[in-house]
Amino acid sequence: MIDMEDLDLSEFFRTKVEAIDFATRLSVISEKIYEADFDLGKALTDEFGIQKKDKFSILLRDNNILTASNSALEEFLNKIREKVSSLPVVSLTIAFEPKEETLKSICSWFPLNINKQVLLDITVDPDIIAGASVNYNGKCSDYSVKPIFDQMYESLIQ
Amino acid sequence: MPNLPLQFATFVVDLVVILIAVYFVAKLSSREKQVEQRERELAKKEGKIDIDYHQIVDNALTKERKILEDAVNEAKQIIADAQYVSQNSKETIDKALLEMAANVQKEAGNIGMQSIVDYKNYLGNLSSTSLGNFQNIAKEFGTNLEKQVKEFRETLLPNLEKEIEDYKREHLKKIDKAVEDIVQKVAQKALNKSIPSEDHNNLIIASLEKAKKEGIFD
Repeated sequence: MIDMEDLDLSEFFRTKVEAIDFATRLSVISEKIYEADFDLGKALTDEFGIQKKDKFSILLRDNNILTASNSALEEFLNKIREKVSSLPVVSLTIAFEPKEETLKSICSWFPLNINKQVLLDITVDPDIIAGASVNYNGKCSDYSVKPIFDQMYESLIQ
Repeated sequence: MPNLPLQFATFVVDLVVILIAVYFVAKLSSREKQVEQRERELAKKEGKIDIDYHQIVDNALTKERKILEDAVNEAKQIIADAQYVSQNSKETIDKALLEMAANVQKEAGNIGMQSIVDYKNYLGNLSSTSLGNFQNIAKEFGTNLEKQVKEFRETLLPNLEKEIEDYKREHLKKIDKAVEDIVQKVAQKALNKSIPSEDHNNLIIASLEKAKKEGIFD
């Protein structure tokens, strides 16, 4: 029995948009599984590219999925899609356009600190200067530099 | 004699036929004579009618010629009379028109002279009246103007100066606010740009740490 709770999919997507795209591509592969000339390696390469295909192959092996069994493969893909749709979304407002490294460091913080993989929904607003405003599960707080800056500025002009 | 009665009968019939034929020939001959007689009579009558017709036509032509000659003479007389009347009338009308034109010219001259005199008088009266009125109005206007200037100096000017001062202060306030906003924006942007990427990343992670401490992720 596969433990989907511990399944780490952060190698495949980090943001909400990437997760939706990933799930859509899995659906395309699922639809082809029972075709006579179905080739898993080719299907994974077509949908995800060579690097992610290798990572997905490792994921299958780590979870003891028999790729020869179409039904086992279909079940695994369906479970991944279910997990993707159940992942919590954290909305972050940050002051700059994040690079891959930034996304990676933010994303890896969550499993380490709150034991959850999350999907990031990022908005860029340079006015907040630096830091981030966080919105999760209906709770919201501004941890950016802007309130501190405004306070300093007000005292300065007075 | 063979068949004698038959021969007799045939003879009788032939005889009857011949008699009938002779009768009809005689009859036709008589009729033809009658027709010829009638034709002769008719020709005689026609000749008489022709003579009568020519006589009537000649008479008619003679009468017509006479009537035409009379009509022409009459017309000539009428035209001659009309020319005489027309000439007389023309002379009379020309004479009347000349007299009339002379009268009109004389009358127009008189009226024109009178109008010029009247107009001169009217203008003289009008200018003297207007000048008088104008002097009055100008004097009144001067008095009013002096009064208004005095009022303006005493009441309106101080108020106006105060309004201008308020307006100036209000606008300076707005300008100050705009300048502050601009400085703030520039400072924000400058600060944003001046922070290195690593520090930005650290500040985001610090924000997440704070959020965790405050229980945002619980």
